Amino acid sequence: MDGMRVLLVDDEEELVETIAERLELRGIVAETVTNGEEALQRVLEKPFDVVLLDVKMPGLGGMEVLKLIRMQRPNTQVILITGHASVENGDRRLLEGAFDFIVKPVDIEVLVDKMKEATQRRKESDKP
Amino acid sequence: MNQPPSRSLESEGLAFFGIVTASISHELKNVAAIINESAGLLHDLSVGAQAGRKPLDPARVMKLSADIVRNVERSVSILNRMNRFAHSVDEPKQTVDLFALCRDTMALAARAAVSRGIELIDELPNQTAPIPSFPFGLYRLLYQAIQIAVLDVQGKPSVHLSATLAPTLVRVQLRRDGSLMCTEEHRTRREAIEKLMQALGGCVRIDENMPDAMGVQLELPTS
Repeated sequence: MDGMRVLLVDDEEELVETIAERLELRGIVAETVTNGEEALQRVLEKPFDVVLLDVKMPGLGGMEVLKLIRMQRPNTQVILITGHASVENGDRRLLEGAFDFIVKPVDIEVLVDKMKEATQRRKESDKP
Repeated sequence: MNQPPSRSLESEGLAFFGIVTASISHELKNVAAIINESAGLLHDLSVGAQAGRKPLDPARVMKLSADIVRNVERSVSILNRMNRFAHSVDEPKQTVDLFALCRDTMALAARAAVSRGIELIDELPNQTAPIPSFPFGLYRLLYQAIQIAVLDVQGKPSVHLSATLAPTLVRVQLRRDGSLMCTEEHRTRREAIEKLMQALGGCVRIDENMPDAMGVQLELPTS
């Protein structure tokens, strides 16, 4: 999908950098940050179609960032990235308004598909 | 208001075991995720090279291989720590190196502390501190002490763990800047520490009335 605007947020720098490189090889340019505060700042600075957001981070946690993004940029679609097995087992109550979730370790092709779907949702929600 | 009945040491121990193993599993998932992405990227780059899109850069391949090896080593270290912790549950009273166990507990508690933006700083002496005790009880005691020291930390968020070894006792100290607010969580943890310390035959002092700092001092007998 052309021009997809993606932000990757995870406190494991090595992880976000490598995912970003793999996405780039698939034609998706992604920006990366390693904490919730920076993520929020970046989202306020410019619009993103999709934010891939780690749930467990030091300081401002993923769920708090999600709530703030929902308030400030309601059309931005958030995909949560989590190691929480309850979500994997179908407890979607934990999503709290996110577009979807993905479980660590990430399947890159699944992630790309979810990002495309999220971007589509974003475009639809932008329509008057 | 009806208060829930206080849990026994045993059920509190089970809850503690759950908290620690959940935290370890998250750590391992992160490591697995990094290994997965590094291996995946190696695959992507190889496919690209095979298709003639971009030649493989040996330096890049070596860097990714090193990343994988480093994260495998990280996972082994986490697993070793988990193994020692898991075995401690059934271990009888025995000679324990308290400083080594302090370091293990710091590592086990680090994730929860970091999630509050707090750094745990190891200032323990570079020596052994053998004491006769129950390893699982010590893990619980030290974990609770760290948890009470990270409550409501303001300003510079760090907790320092140090110790002194005397002929008849080992004194472990946790200190941090910023006073402690007396909350329900604080009271619960304080009670837990006191109960555990009583069971382990040592004594505890929590300095909570200092204006701009707080400290926890644990004293355990060496014989």
